[in-house]
Amino acid sequence: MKKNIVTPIAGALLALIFLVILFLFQVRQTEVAVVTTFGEFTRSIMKPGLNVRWPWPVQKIYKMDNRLRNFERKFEQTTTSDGKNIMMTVFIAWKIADPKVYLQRFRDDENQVEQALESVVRDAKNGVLGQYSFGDLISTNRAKVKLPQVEMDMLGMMQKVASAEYGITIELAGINRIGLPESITTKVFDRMTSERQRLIRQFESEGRAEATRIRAEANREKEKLLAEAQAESTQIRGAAEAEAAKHYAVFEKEPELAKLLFDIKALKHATRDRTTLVLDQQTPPFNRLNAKAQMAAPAKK
Amino acid sequence: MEKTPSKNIWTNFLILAVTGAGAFIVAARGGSMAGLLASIYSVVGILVTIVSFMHMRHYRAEEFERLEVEKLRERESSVALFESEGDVLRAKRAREQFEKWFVPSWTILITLGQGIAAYMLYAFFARKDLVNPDEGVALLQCAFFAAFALAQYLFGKYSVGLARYDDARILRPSGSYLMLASVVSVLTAVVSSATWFGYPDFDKHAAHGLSIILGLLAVENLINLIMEIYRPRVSGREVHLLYESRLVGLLGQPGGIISTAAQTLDYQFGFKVSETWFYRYLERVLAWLILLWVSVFLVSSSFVVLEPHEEALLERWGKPVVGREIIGPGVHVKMPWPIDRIHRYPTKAIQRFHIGYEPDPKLEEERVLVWTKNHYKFEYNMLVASRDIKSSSTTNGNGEEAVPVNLLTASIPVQYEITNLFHYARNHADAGVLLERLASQVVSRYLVSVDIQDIMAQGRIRAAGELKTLLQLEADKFALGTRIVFVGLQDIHPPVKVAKAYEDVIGSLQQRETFILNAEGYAAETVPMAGALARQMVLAAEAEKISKVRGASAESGQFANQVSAFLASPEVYRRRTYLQTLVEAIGGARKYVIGTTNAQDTYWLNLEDAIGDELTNVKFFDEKDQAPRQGLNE
Amino acid sequence: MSDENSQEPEKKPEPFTPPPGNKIELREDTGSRALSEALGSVFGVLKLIMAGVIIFFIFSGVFTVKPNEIAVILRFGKPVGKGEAAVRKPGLQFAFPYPIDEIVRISTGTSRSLRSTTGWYFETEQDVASGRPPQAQNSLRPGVDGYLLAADGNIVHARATMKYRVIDPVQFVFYFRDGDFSLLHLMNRALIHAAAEFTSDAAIYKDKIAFKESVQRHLAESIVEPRMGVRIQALDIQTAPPVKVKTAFDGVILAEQTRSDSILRAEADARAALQEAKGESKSIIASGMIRSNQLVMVIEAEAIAFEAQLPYYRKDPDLFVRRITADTMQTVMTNAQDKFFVPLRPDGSSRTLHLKLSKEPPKPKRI
Repeated sequence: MKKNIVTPIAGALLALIFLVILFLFQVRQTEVAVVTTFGEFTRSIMKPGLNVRWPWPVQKIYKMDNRLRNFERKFEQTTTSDGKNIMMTVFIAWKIADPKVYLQRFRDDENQVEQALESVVRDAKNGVLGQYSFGDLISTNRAKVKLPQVEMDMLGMMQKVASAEYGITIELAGINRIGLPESITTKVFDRMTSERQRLIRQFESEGRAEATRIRAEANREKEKLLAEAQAESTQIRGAAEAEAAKHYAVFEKEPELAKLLFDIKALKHATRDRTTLVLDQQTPPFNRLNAKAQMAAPAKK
Repeated sequence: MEKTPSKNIWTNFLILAVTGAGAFIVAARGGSMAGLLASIYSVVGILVTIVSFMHMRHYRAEEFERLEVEKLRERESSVALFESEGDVLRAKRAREQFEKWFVPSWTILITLGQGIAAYMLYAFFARKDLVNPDEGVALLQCAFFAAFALAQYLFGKYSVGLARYDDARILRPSGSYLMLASVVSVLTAVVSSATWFGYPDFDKHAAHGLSIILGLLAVENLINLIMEIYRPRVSGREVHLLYESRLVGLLGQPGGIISTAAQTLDYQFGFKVSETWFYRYLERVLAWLILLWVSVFLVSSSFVVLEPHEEALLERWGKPVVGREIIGPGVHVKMPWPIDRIHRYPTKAIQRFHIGYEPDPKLEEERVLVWTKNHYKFEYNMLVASRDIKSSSTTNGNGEEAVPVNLLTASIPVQYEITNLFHYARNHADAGVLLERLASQVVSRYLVSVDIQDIMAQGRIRAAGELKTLLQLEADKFALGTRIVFVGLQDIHPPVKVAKAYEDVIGSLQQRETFILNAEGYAAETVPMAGALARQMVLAAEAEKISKVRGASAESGQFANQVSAFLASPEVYRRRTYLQTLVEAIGGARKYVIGTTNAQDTYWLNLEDAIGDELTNVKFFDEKDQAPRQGLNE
Repeated sequence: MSDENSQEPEKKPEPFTPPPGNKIELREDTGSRALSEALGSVFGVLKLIMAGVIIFFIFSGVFTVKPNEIAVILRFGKPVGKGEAAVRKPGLQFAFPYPIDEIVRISTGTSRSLRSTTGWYFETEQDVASGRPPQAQNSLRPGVDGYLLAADGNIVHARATMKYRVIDPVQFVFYFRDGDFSLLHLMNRALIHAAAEFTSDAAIYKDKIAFKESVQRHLAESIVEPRMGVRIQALDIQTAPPVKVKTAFDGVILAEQTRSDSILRAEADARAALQEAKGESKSIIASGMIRSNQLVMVIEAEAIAFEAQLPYYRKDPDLFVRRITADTMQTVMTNAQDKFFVPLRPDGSSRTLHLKLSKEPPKPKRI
């Protein structure tokens, strides 16, 4: 082969790259690293950046994801302290706190971590829920609802095991899903329907009752007004009667005449129509038509 | 080709058949799987021998023919004999045809057979639940297979040697298969003896390995078939026997590796690769290379690198090395392989097991866990006491109180780490399993004495802590060298069959509320209305009262005034009022004024209704008098 | 093995020069010569490839950031720049090639949207397309149907849709493995907490605004914004009663409406009745007044007429009586409809009168 200037340069470059790969390594923003020398733990690197190392087999670098990871598993049925059932899922967000311990415990196998975490999370969730009654979780009295405290208790329990034994820290823990066993939801629906029905009946009957009351009151007022009016009218008539009495005194001067005059008047009015008279000769003035009576002089008194 | 080969092939065939059958019978009795494979190998050998035999027959026929033709040619030197050459050399053509068609198809058959057998066996041996071979019969088995091995080796070596010296290539395939069969038989014998000594696992592993090799044989045959298509055809050269497997030759005669390799390359490339300088150089150096490789292997076994989570036990000739029983993570030097050995343990890692259930991988995927559905393959029911039902407790004969029990299923995960490797590895054959058993025991004992309501709810956290402590005590008692990291009660509930009833109880609380609400609804409906009606009645009465009172008082006022009018002129008032009322009343009526004084009046009053009324309604002689008797005379 | 060529490896090279142009060709050497030629050409190709790779490598540092993206450059793992300076805006950017720099692209968009995954009922695609809630079910299947528990122990459905912007991408992308998912969890949690504080009535009908504020408050409690480097632009809450009891819930609203309607109607009726009564009472009084006036006037008139007649009566009562009687008779006779005159029997005995008096045909009632 011909001697080329390019080849040595390329070779040198390659060699340089080779050396760089061997002796330097990066820790990315999202990673932490553990450096072991001949298998023994040397140091953990928590900050991102460029670092120097000895190549394998002298030193081995383990890189692990130090971002906050989400974890949630089962929607599980459990008992509260007063023997009632509730179903809950708890989510956590965790990250590596002590890379050395984490590596030892799990060899960076996320599956293993999640299996271990699942037991811890479920134990904490069910254990803490067993300490609180159903009314502490769901209550119309806002002061009694202790959901944040439940979450904090769970977090505390989990964090104790996690940081002491696993080398991880749990930053968030919260309830992600809440529910009741299926058979109980049916009963809750029945209760809800009854509750609504109760309100419906209450409102409807309240409406009716109030309407009836209002109408009754109005009727009473109306009756009262009418009665008052009647009474007043009667009173006015009475007053008129009193005034009429004055005039009656006049009639007392000659009561017979008064009676006669009134009789006559009445007679005239009554016989004004639809009257049939059956008379005979004895009735004056027809008695005048009687021959005998014609002769007779007006005598009697 | 010589005459003796045919006899030899027959012998080979016989030996293979006998040993094959024998191997099968013995393996079936003894349960040795390696033996089973030995018989399979024999079967393949039989197949190869058959085709070999036929091939040989063809060769012989061809040879005879050639000799005859030569003789003929010597006798008569006319050219005419060779006009239809193809006609004369029938045997040769037959052989060629045989080699062109029959041999490849037979080889394909063998390959297929090997492949399928290998595949099925491989899958079979990969299973976890295979039965171990019988230990009692193992020694007998060993003896049998040793005998088989001897016979196979003898005849195989004879055949191969014959093939080499007598230039009877045709014998080589069956010979090498016999050799291979003998190797397998030896292996089976060794494995049987291991079984007899109490290590039955080797049998399985050997069988597994042998099935892999069978597969490799099939692959090699396939490659041979393919390569045969691309081989440069140089006339005059010997045709390689397609069904001869170089691998078999290799395995059967480990000594001829290099020469076999050289032969292969020669054959494949069509020229003497083995003569090139590179190859010769390699040959020389090969031995040294191998030596180097072996020494590197040995030296590398002197170094141990332990990962950060591991520890290891160091043993010299089986006994712990004084002063260095346990070595931790990092690099360590030790004596090479057979002298010093290490056993690694993941001490820093979290070990896990669980009590109370057997998981089902499919059900593990379920996201929802309800008590009324199975979420494990099997859940164990634990006995738990109950505090509540004291009233119905019965006393047995001794006057002791028998407490009613409940059943509960609990899933309890336990996590631990190995703290003292020495104790862990040495004190017990399998400390992990022992710990599991202890945990089961601790849990059962503990649960028997707790109250069911308590453990399901409030006492859970406390129980987990107590279980952890108890288990740790037990582990320390047995010196297991472990530390319990975590004990959890992740799942405690009544057995699945009972869970529905349990839920129903809670559901009935809701039902109670429903009933109450229904009643309240009824009350809400009727009470207000009743109240309103009551009020209505009261108000109506009030109105009536007011009306009456006011009316009465007004009327009495009116009456008082009327009285004064009356008193002013009583008779006139009376008369006038009477007349007024009368006139009003009779104003519109029909009046009959009867003023007769001299008649007896008979009144027929026809009070019939107008058209259509009953005739019986006629009233006669009624004394009713419609018209007032009005007289002018007083 | 029978074909082995016996060529000795230690052959001393003979001191002779081969005649020019006379190449000694051995079959074996041609094979190896071909082999070496082949290898040589392969190396040549490899050199070319290497050069190309290096050039490509150097220029791989130039990249563009798409319009709806931003990028962060990690130099040796560390982000270049702090806070806002770390973020590279859309356009042409330069960075060193890998392994020096690493480009991390983050899609921002103007706004991202996230919808809660707890608390809403299960909808098939058809349900979503039709816009109507699904069929009523008798129970809610855990894990499939979502719902929340309200403070009064009732079951309600609620769904939150959040629009947010990533304002600190370094935090959002590098601190969280899956920031969207974490945010989703926090949103679900806020829904659950908020629902536990409100009765079902309040959450669904009466107090929706307060419910939404509660969700926001719970989100803020988990200090979601600074922790995650996002800004929440909008939070939209939907609530609904479970489909099975929806009619009952609607019925309550309806009943409330009916109640107020009844009351209003009754009040209107009452007012009308009172008005009517007032009117009627006025007319009663008025008629009373009229009648009383009438009464007085009549009596007064009669009294005057009486006074006028009185002296005549007093003068000769008998005559007065007769005169007025005759006068009356005249009027009566004239007005009477029928007059029957029964003469006397000569012997003065009484007669028998048979009077057939028939009933008046009933007059039709005048309405």
